[in-house]
Amino acid sequence: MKQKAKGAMISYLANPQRFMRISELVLPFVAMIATLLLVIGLTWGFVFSPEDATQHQSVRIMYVHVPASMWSLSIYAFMAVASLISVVWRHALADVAARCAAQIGVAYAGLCLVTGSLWGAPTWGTWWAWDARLTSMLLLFITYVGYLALWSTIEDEVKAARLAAILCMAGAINLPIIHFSAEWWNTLHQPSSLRLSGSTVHPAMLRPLLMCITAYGFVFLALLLAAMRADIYRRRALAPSRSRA
Amino acid sequence: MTDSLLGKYAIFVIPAYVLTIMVFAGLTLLIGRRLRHWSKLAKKREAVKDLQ
Amino acid sequence: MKLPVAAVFKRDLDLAWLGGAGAAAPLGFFVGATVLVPLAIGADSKLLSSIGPPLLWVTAALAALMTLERVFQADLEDGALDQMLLARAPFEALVFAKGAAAWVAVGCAIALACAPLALTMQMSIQVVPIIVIDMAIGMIAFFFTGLLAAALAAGVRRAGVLIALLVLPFYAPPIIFGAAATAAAARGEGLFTAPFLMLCGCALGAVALGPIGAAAAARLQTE
Repeated sequence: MKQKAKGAMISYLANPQRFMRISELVLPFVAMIATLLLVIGLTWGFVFSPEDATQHQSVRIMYVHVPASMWSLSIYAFMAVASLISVVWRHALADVAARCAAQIGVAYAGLCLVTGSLWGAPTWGTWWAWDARLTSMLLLFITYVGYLALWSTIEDEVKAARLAAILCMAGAINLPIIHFSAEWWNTLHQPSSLRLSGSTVHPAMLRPLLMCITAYGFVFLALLLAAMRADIYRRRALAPSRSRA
Repeated sequence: MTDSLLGKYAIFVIPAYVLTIMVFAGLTLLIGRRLRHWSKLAKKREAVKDLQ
Repeated sequence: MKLPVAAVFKRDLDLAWLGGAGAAAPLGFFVGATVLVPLAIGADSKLLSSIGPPLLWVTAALAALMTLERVFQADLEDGALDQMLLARAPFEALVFAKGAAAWVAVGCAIALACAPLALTMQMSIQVVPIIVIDMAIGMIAFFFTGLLAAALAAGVRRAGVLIALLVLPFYAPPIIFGAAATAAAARGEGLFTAPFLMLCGCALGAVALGPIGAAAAARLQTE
C-alpha cells in the first residue's frame, strides 16, 4: 500500500522541475527527522530495551537487522513500481528514482546480511545457515548487484534505464518464486532446530523495533531524495546545451 | 557500562551497531558529496547560460 | 516462403550444430566438469551417488550459462536482429523460436549426456530416463530465463560475467526443484514428484514470460 502511494507520488512529481522545487523544501526536514529517529531508535535498542529471556543481550541486534531486512524488500518493491511507471509512461524521473533506490537498497540488503550473520553466530552457533530467509536475502542482494551492474555497464543512459527497468520487473516476478522455493527447500534440508521460529515480539521490544523500522524508512527517504537531486543536477550539468533535464 | 551489560554478546552486538552507523554515515557522505558536486556544476553551467 | 518463426528456429539450430563450436563447447564443458569431480573427491560410490544429482544440475546450469553470451550478440552484430524486427511475425515469437532452438540444440544434448554421466555417478539404470526428462525440463527454465539476461547484456562487450550475475537469481528456483526432483527419483520415488511438478511450473513460467522480456530488451538493443 505504501509503495502504491509512493508510486502515485512519483507520478505527480514526474516533472523534474517540480520535483526539484518540492524536494528542496522537504529534504532538510526529512533528513532531520531521519537523524532524530535513528538516534532515538538505536539508543533505545542498544541501551534501554529489555534483555530477551532466551537470546539474552544478542537480541539487541534485532533492532538494526530486522528494519534493514524489511526495507531492503520494500525498496525493491518501490523500484519495481518505479520501473513499471518508467516502462509504461516513460517518466525519466522514475528511472532516476529506481536507480537511486537500488543504490540504497543494496546497502540495506548487505547490512541485513552482515548483521544477520552477527546475530546468527551467538544464537544459532553459526555465522551462516542456509535458512529460507537468509537464502532469499542473499539472492535479493545478488539481484540488487546485478541490477546496478547492468546500469553501470551500459553507457547510453536512456537505454540503460529501459533495460534496467525490464530487469527490475523480471526480478520482482522472480523474488516471490525464490522465496517460495527457498522456503520449500528449507523444509526439505534443514534440521528443525536451526529454523527460526516466528515467535511474537514482546511489546517492550516491539516499540523500539517499530521506532527503528520508521527511522530506517526516513533514512531511506532522505537518502533517496538527496541521491535523486544529485542525479538530476548531474543530468543538467552533462546534458547537451539545448535541453535541460 | 554497556560493555559489561552486554557480557559475552558484546563482540556481536557492538560490531552490528557500529557497522550500521558506518553504513548510514557512509551513504550520507557519499550521496552528500555527490549532491554538492553536481549541484555546483549544474549551477555554474546555468550561470554561464544566463551570461550568453 | 517459409514461416518467419520456423526460419529463425532452423537458422539458430543450423548455427548451433553446423557452425564451429556451437553446441559442442557447452556439451564438452558439461561432460568435462562432471567427470573431473569424482577424480577430485575419490571413487567412494556412496558419496558419488549422493552428490551425483546436485552435481549434474550445477554443471548443467553452468554449461547452459556459457551459451547465453552469443544468443543475441551475434545477431545484433550482423544485423540479423534488425531483420527479425522487420519480419511479418511478432518479434516475441521469433525470440521464442531462438530460445526453442537453443533448447533443442544445447539443452536436449546436455540432458541426453546426463544418461551416461548418471551411470558413472552410481545411479541405477531405471532412474536414468527420469534424470534425462528432469534435466530436459530444467533446461527449458535455464534457457528461457537466460534469454532475458542474454538480451539485456547483448550490447555489452565481454558480457559473460554480467550475464552470470543477472541470471543467478533466476536459476535458483529451477536448480532447487530440479536437483530435488532428481534426488527424489534416485530414492525411487518415480518421475511425478512434487519438486518435478514445481520444476515444470518454473519452466512454464519461463517460457511464458522470458520471450516477452527478452524481446522488449532486444528491441531496445537495436535502437
